[in-house]
Amino acid sequence: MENKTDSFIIKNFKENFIFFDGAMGTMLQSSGLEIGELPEILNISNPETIINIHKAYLDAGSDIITTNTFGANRLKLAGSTYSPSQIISAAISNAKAAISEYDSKKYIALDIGPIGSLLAPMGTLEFDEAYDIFKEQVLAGKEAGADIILIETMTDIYEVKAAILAAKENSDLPVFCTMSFQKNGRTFIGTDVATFVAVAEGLGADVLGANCSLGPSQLQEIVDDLVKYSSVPVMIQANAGLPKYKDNTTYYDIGPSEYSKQIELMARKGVSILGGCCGTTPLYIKSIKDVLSNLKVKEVTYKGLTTCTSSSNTVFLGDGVRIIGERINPTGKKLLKEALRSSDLEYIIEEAIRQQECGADILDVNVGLPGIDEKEMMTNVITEIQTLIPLPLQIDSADAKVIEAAARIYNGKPIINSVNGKKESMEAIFPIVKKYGCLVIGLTLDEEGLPKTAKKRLEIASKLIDTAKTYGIPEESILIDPLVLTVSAEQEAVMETLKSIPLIKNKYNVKIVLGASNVSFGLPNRTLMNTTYLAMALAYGLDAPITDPTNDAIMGVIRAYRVLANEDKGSKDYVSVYANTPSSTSDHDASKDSSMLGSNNKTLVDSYLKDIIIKGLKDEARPVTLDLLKQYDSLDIVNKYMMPALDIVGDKYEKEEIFLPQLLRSAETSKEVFEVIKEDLIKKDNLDSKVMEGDKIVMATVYGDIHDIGKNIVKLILENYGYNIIDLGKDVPIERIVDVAKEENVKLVGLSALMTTTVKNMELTIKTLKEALPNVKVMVGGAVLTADYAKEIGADYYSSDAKGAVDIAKEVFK
Amino acid sequence: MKTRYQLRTNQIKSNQIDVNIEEVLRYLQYKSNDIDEETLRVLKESILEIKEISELRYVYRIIDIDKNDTSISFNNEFSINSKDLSKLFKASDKVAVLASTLGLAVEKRIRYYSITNLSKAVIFDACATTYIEALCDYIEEEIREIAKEENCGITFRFSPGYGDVPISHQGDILRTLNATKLIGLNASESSILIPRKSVTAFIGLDKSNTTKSIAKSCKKCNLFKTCTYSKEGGNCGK
Repeated sequence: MENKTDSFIIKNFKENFIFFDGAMGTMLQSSGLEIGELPEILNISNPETIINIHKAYLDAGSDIITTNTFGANRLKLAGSTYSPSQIISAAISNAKAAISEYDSKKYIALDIGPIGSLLAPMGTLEFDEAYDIFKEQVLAGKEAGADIILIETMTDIYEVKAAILAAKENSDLPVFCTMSFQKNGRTFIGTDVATFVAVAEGLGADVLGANCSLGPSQLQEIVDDLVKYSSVPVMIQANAGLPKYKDNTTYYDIGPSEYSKQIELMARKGVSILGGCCGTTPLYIKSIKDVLSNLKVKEVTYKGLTTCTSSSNTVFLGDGVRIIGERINPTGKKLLKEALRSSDLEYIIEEAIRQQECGADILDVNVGLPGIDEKEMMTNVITEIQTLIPLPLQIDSADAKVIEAAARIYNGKPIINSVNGKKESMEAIFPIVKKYGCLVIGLTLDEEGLPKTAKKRLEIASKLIDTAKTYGIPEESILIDPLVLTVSAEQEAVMETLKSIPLIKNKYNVKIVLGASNVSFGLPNRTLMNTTYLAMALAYGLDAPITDPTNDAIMGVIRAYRVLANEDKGSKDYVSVYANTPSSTSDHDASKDSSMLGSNNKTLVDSYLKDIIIKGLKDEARPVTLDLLKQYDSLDIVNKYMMPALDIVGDKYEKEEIFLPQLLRSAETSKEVFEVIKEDLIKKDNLDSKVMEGDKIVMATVYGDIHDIGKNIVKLILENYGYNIIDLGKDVPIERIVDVAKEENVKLVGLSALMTTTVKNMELTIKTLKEALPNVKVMVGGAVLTADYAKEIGADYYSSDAKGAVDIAKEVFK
Repeated sequence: MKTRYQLRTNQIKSNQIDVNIEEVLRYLQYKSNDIDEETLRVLKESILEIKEISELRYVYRIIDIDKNDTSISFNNEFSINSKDLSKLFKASDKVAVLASTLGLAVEKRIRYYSITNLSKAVIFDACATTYIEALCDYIEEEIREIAKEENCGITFRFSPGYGDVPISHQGDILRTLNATKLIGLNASESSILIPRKSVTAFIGLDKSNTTKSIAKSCKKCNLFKTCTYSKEGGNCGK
């Protein structure tokens, strides 16, 4: 497989360069037309001008011309009298009219630019809506006779995903896709070239590249990365240099000859499709065509890299040990089960962050639990984790429907966990892997069960890899898990798993993953067994253990292995971790003292907890609370120590002795105490304790609004007072708030809105809530609200701060 | 040549702009100088962090305006019905329309802290607000120089959301400046700027050259009720 692109267009050109056109906007401006807000309308109001621009580029030697449809989507055209399909069909007619005058074969690329509204969760445009917007453009373009779909000037890889999916699912046209990078090698939204290539190539883009934002010389480093990672042809449409200002006019600073010198350099590096962006004209196209006339296209090499990504970060597997964190999996974890049942995403996110901090490269996400909607939970958890941390995720489910839903909304290129050698499994999973361009873990078991020998493992791996290829999935997209056996049960077969690793790797370009902790099942000192086995597996060629990165012994083995395998050069990482005896650099290093207090010094411990809360020493809350739990009932700890401490803090705040950051530190400390108590109760199966049954309040930042610091402050303080907050997050659709309020049968809903524009949605939410649940009370807050305004929009209560919200809650639940 | 071409975009290094700690404390509503050690430590740490991850970008354009008592037209591209703006620009034929941002990394970090460390989120957010305002002050000086060449002074900086100008005009400003493409600034359907630590504003090139006499009425400001300056008996100087 030397070239992944089967596109007829690319094949037609074989060893020749393909020339696009240059800027449309620049040409429109110099044509002297008065440009309104939407240049796309000129397709209908002034077709001659557009046709002439196309012709000028065709005369200069362009093989492919780009329709004047950059912003022809339903959001950008909202204010005009034309629909996207009217504009697109006119634009393609214009392109056809221009082409009809030429004998040689020319092609039309349907231009699709960014929608102009950021996708959720960063913005508020839903992924499915973005998909629909692109779909409308693709269908119109296909209908009108476009030859190519050109998705260009993108900065958001999530939007790229929506656009490529829309193009692939609704047409058979080849898809060319370019993103705009800044000098730092990333787009405005934070995607780097490696990530772009991994995601776009996985989704099936036929050509990819970079355009706009920079001149050709500034794009050279971007080009280096593109040709380094891409297995499909690379295209570049640079600006005519950087914008300069003189005599109150803007111009681009390099001319056609300098431009084409830089382009020649790109062509020598391996770029085969060339054109121009802002500031370029037919002169530039003619010039690059002349310069390249004696040059041959450099053949695209197949890279065969195994990569998974988030939206901003690519992990290369096979390039040293990579750690897949296994902790987000409810099997055998009471606390996580409870968090899933109560939709407590916060707990799950904390697990994700902790694993990241401990050194995980990838996180496995499994939320399968009887009685919960796994699909909804999986997509919610993935979205939430992806908003906060940049690690790629591994979608782990036994249900293909859950996997497909998650793979679709995933922002980047995920790993699917898993497929196995059973026919049924392969038929369900491989189409998803192919369509969304994922990596997949293949388990070496099939209809005959778990094999005993290394040879049989290799056979199943071969079956998986060969079958995957029939779906168009290359072998480097497969990670084989040769499945560990439990040594206490099948001691003679344990080595077979390890022996299969080199067998498989010698034959195929696949990477090996392994969940290693089952080996020790049923034996004492499991950590010793697990770490020894892990070390052996690494030596046999394991690429990515699926393990617990918060376990120091396991991480120790991996760090040591990295030194011994010459991955951790100069033992830098190893030394930085182990050279200094671990000492906390925190300003408050009293945590160690808390254990010294022991349980015999009663009064000291008692006052110490109060003190910790008042001073806001969060790190010390856990050990001290655990100590207290040895001798006190949980309710006593809350009532005797926590509440009085909070009262003191509240009092100091009102007297302006302390200010908001300090108040919050105390509240966070207090929350930690509460968490420790709750965890203790869950572990003891004591779910009926009074501490667990706070009155429920639903809280949300209203639809369209993304400000949530204020809401989170109110939530935190209410939690301190024992209320059970169901936090729906930000930008929450009205129906969702109503549904949850109904389901949970809550008496009080708290809403936040910070903008004049979103107070309307708050009003609508209150109205809908009151219609569905006449008895529910609504309290509101947010910078633009006042008590009067709140009343006007139908709220029962208004508060300007968290303290007020507590008073309201007390009144509602009295 | 039409003013459409008079567009400047730039990126500056974060060490060119400083964060004033006093200002941050005011956003945090500290009313005394009695800041505790831990808050000060987190505040300083936040400033370093923000400076490290910010990408200070801005774009502005000097636009010809047509005006009457109740409305301003910006080169026929868009218009705003506003008595406040008409009054502010009574001695202006040209207005600088600007957009600036700290970039998306700061936005992401604020979201991260607002889930993982709320007390830091509050401090971090205040530092970022101070920083973007300081960037606007820097841009304002550039515009003052341009105004000088035209023998003009400048009016104060007026952003959508002030007075009678609704934030729904964010989209107009971003479009006219091509700001999404040039500096990565977006507006949501509810006209929330994303990244949020971004500012759009108008600054008039004032022929009367009497910048200081044009003081905004505090009572007309949307923030009047929550303004911490006025609570202290002062004003924001605008």
